[in-house]
Amino acid sequence: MLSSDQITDNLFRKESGKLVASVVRLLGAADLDVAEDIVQDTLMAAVNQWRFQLPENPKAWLYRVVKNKTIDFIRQQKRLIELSPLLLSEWTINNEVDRSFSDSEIKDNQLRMMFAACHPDISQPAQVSFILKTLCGLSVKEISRILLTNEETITKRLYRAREKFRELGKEAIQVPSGAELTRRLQAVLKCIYLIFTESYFSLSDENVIRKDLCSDAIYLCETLALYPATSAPATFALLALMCFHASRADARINTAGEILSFEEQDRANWNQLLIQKGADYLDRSIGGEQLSAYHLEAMIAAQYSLSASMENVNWGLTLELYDHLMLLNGSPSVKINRAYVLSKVRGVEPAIRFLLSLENLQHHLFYNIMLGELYKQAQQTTVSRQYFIQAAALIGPGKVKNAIENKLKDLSK
Amino acid sequence: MSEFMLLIRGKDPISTSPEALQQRMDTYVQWMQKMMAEGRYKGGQPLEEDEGRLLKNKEEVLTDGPFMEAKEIIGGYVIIIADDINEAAEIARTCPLLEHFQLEVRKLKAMN
Repeated sequence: MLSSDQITDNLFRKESGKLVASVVRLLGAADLDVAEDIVQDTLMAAVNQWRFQLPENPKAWLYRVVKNKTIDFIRQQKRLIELSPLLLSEWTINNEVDRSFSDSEIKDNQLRMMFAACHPDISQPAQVSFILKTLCGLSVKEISRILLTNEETITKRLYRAREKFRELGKEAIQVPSGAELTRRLQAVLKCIYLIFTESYFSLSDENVIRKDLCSDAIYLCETLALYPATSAPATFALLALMCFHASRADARINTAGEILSFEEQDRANWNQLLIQKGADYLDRSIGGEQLSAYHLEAMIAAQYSLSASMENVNWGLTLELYDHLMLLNGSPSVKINRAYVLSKVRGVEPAIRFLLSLENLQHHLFYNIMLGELYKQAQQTTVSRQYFIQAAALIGPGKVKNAIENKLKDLSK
Repeated sequence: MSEFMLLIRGKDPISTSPEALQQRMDTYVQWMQKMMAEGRYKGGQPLEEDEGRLLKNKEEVLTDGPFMEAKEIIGGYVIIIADDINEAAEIARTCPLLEHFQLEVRKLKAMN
């Protein structure tokens, strides 16, 4: 009889990406629609049948059905599309299809999809949307929620990505080499980084951290790290920083469902295994001449994760790292986080002055929250309250808003 | 206590993401486990949808399926235990399948 523990969490989502990538490997990226249809039909069939009886090996069932549908498609269409000669012959088609779905090939297939998605002619937001849909198995609605945009925008982006694949034909899933590979790898790393940070620091209220997507991002990056061509120092640095952040995922929400800031978290809930992994990846990331923004972020994360307590954090070093990071990544969050560290090294006043010197951030949520915190520390309660009120106005109901309102309550005590 | 069949009617045209499909299955499994815990679940089976035969009489055999409008196609059935048809209908109302299909509730005739 069916029991929910028998179907791994997210089996469909996890496997759909691999399955689509494997079919695309056989048919080509121009036929992405076909690949998605085959996988979609299979999942629908699974839902309708497994309700009544769970197969002994659900994952194998999915693979078997997808393979058979792929073979059927190839047999029907062989005259109409370009295929490898091995697929055209009845003697070899089964083996060839099996091979594409084997464990060793699957990671390769996923890499190809990632690289295909990050073609320079496809816009960065479209690249991320595409990966979230095709490799992570999310729907347009779910993607729009994570990226805080509307469904129409996502649909348009996905459409353009597919049009590009159609245009490129066979070339779409060729893995580039040399300088083009290096460029493309940067784009892939950026996508993975975005997916991780959007999931981890998510402002949409469903789950404040989508842990499953964070794992997906880490998994995709680990896949990159398996191959010499794509295991650049930056790849390991990105892995390190994701592991350090992910290690705090369980500590971020308390039993009452409230968000805890970094200082409020109970360190006992930090995942030591992930911290260790992060430290190992950080070691492996050093060796190139390039110190990427990921390296700096990883080193900053390491300062927090590896110190015995808040008091032991090397704030001076962390500030230096932030100063260097700001040169490479001038985003608001980097600057706002730097202000916090600045307050630890030189005091609250310089930190506040720094933040006030930044332009165009009045509507930035985190900017207002940080100013609220710093003014509170400076014991300027009225000004602090003002900033927290502004912050609360910038976000809809949910855990983050509740956290801000709790801070306002604290001020009144 | 009697047995009731829930006939699952309709074709599910909705295409959704793997994530949403997973959730659909999880929701159904939860319902089914609740039914089993209450001792109400007797079994169920899906029906093949690609083909079928309709025999109107000895001579006429229609081989092109499906034979009815999409909303009337029977995709499968579930058998549950309830006191009477009203209770069975109330139980059917809690079934997650109702979000995508119609459920026809019929009592199985007791043979004696």
